[in-house]
Amino acid sequence: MPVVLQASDNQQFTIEKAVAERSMLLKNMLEDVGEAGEPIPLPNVAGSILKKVIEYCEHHKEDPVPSAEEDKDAFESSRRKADDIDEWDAQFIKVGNEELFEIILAANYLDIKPLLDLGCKTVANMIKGKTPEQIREMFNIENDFTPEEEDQIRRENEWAADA
Amino acid sequence: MPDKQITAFIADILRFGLERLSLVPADKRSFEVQDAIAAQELAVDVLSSIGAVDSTPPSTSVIEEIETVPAVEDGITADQNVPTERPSIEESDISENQHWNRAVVLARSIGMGGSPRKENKPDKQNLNAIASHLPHELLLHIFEWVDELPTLYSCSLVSRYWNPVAQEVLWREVLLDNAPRLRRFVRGVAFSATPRVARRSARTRAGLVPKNFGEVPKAFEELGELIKPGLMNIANGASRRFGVGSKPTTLTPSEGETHPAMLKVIAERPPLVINKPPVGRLCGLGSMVKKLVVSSSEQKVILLQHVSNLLNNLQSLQFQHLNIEGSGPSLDARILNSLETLIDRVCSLTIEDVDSPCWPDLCRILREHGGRLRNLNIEAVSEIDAFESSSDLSDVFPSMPGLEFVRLDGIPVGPNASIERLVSSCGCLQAVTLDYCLDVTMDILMVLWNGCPQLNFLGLAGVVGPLSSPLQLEQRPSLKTLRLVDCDVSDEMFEEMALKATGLEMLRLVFEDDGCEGIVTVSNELTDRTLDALSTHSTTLRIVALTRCPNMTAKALSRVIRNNPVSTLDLHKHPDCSIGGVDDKFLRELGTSVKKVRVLNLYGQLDLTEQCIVEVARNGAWTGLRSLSLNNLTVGPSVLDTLRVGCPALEVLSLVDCPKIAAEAIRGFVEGVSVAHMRVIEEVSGRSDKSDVDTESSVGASSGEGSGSSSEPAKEILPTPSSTSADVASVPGPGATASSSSSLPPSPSPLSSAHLHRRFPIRTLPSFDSPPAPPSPLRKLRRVYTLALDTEETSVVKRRDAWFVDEGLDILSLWENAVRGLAGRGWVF
Repeated sequence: MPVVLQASDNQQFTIEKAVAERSMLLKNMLEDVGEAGEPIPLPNVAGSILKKVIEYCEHHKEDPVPSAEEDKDAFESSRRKADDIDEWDAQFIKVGNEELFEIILAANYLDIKPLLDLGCKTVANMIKGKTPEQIREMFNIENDFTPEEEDQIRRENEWAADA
Repeated sequence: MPDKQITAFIADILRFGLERLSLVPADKRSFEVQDAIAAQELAVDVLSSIGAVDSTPPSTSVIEEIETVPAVEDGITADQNVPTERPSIEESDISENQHWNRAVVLARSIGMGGSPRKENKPDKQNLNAIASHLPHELLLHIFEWVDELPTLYSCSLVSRYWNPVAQEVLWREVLLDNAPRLRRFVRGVAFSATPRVARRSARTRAGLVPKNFGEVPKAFEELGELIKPGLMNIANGASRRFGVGSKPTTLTPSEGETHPAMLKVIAERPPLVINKPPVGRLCGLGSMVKKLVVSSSEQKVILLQHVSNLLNNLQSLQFQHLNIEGSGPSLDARILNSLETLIDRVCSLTIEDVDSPCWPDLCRILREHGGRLRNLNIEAVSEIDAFESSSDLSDVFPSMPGLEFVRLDGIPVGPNASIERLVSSCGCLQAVTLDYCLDVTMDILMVLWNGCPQLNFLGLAGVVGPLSSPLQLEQRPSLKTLRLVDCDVSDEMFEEMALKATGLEMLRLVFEDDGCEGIVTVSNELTDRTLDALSTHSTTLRIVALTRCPNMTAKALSRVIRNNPVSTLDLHKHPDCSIGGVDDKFLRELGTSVKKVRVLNLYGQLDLTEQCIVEVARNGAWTGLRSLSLNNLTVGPSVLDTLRVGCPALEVLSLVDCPKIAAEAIRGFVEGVSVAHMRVIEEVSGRSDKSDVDTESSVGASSGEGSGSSSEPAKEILPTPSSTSADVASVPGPGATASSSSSLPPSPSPLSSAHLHRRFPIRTLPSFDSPPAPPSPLRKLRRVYTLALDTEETSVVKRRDAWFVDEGLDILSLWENAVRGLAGRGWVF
């Protein structure tokens, strides 16, 4: 039975249940309320972003679901790398900064861990090797430090300043 | 006026240290000299940070430092004028001191809508940029993917909102891999713990507050209390080094010969207990550090003693073998001694590079300061398997009753009785690894198995003394991992173990030491009875790492795989090792049992032929593979084409030291083109027709560039030589393994194959039931490891051992993952 999602701007999307269940939020919701067929309102996600998220879930609908158990699997290595991104995902996440952050927020809200990781890894790769000023420019962040504070932070963190 | 005293006191120590230095010029690298210099540098650093001296940036190399001693002396002379340079401190600043923890102050100021000192700039556009107010936990999640220090450093300087989050990641687990970094870290810790009010030096230097010289504000006395822990500790550490009396933990004027300057200070103050870490936020950023990793061979580690009180939340301390190829110097006992107070507080201690000189000290320290340890991991220097000593751990274990995880590698644990002591003293043991502990016998298997009701991980290596009585084990369903390397085992033992470990998930049964006759004999005597025990009694095995013993058959192994949810199969051996060989017949006979395997390791199996691998993969046995290592195999690029068809789910491939697979072939594989014709031959061939064919035969985009761009002149990329064609032709089914996506089977000769390409660009399907090979990259492929490329490229990584770490199959990952899984969240080990 298909699931209907309604974005913050009232756009509706009808998707397969298997696709919706990539989102732990929706999965739990569907388990709790059953399949009423009513549209599920997602007031925190805009239509354009939801469309993108659904595209991701469509593509990954056959991936094995990482259970909570597997998450803390004793044998799973924790040392995954930020640039460990497959080709499709890399293309998918090539979006503007604003959209990228919107996707991260949506993935967090909808509880889609692989998409959240993908978004966060992408941001991590973007800031890799950049100076503070470059990062501020990239994301439009204001430098709100006083010179003293900046000096202080430099001194305290100086040990991390070079590779 | 305590501030003056402190300054004078530090200055005295500096001068005293210099005097000592002038007496010991002989060995510039001696421990005492380094310690003296280090203490002085730190004192100068801290004094400068509170504005007492104006220090120039210190140099970093040891030799250089010693040679610049006269310059430092100049600095000391300047110190004497310190009081006249001291900036004034306003009352209002004192109150700021209450909130000196900047992270908190900054976080608060966000809530208040900006800095109290600085007006917002309304003209700046897009201040509501989403990155500026991403929820804290998401920003944290992003920073956790950043694995480079300089980038995190940059993040900490971006904005008030980013700063505390970046610092949280930066300071949580600190790896100090070289001496300059270590020094700057110690300085940063000391500086961040210095009350803000005293940090006016920055402003003074900037010319902002140059008034009331020499006037000491009355509130400074309160402040002195805050400064003391850090400074006194420095003083204390330095004085201890020079034998200047006083107990390590308390400054009292009672004992021994005391330097006059120190006596003066001490006489005017009440005794100050400084072993107790400062409370609350007074530790500065040091209190954020949960885990500290330092180099075991770096003498400057002793600097940490000066800030050990400021690292008041440290849980894990690791002395790792960093930055040194091969074996380095062993750990210096004086480093351990100087860090006793730190060891006192941690619950996880890792010490590598241990050798006999420091062993008695280490035993004592563990006995006296190891009471809080939950995890203890000690490893002998890498150049030896094990060392001997008259001290053992039998009287140390009772002092560490909370131990849950113990890994001891190559150290003199003591005889079996010592292990019995461990078991009786530590009732919570969950994971035990004893590698190359010379005096124990296989009887300890029973001691540990039966004595530890919560045992989850049991690892033994190099335990060769045989059982004194038949193995009788209790049911141990908690046991998940059993690792036996070069141990004196037998079929009977495995029958008992398989029966009693009802929840076993991982078995590593490995023989490596083919130089030891006993080991070779043991491996020869193991048979299918061992495997049959596993297939009969075990139902939970997920990871099987096995040195294939000569009397073990593929049929028996495939039964183990079929009857268990095996997802990782590790059949590797060292290329030079004579034990553990897997041949074509064995691999073929494993058959489709391997279908459920996700991770397969064939590293070092030099007998495996290209033909066999191509056949096995084409027959659909490897359709489940996510990760594969073919390191050191002498197979050619045809294998890569086959993998694109036979392993549709492949994510990671390791091709380190595969001499017949050239960089071009790997690139082509990643790009998704046929690469079978990109063969490496050892000698340059004079036959000219090859290159003709090479350019003509290219159906894939980049394959034609193969021979031209080969980086090594001694090797040449050639189209399929006839010998391989013959091999390929003999494979059952459609012969042309190679470019299954682009050639017509069968291909009798390279030339005709190439011509066929040209005339009939027909894509033929392989005969087995798998999707046709798309002329596109493997959909899931993330990474190929190889050394064939000169530089790293997208998804091609030039690293030798990374695959094993990725899959958690190397020995450290195995241990760490086990501890991580057992220790529970929120605990840093």
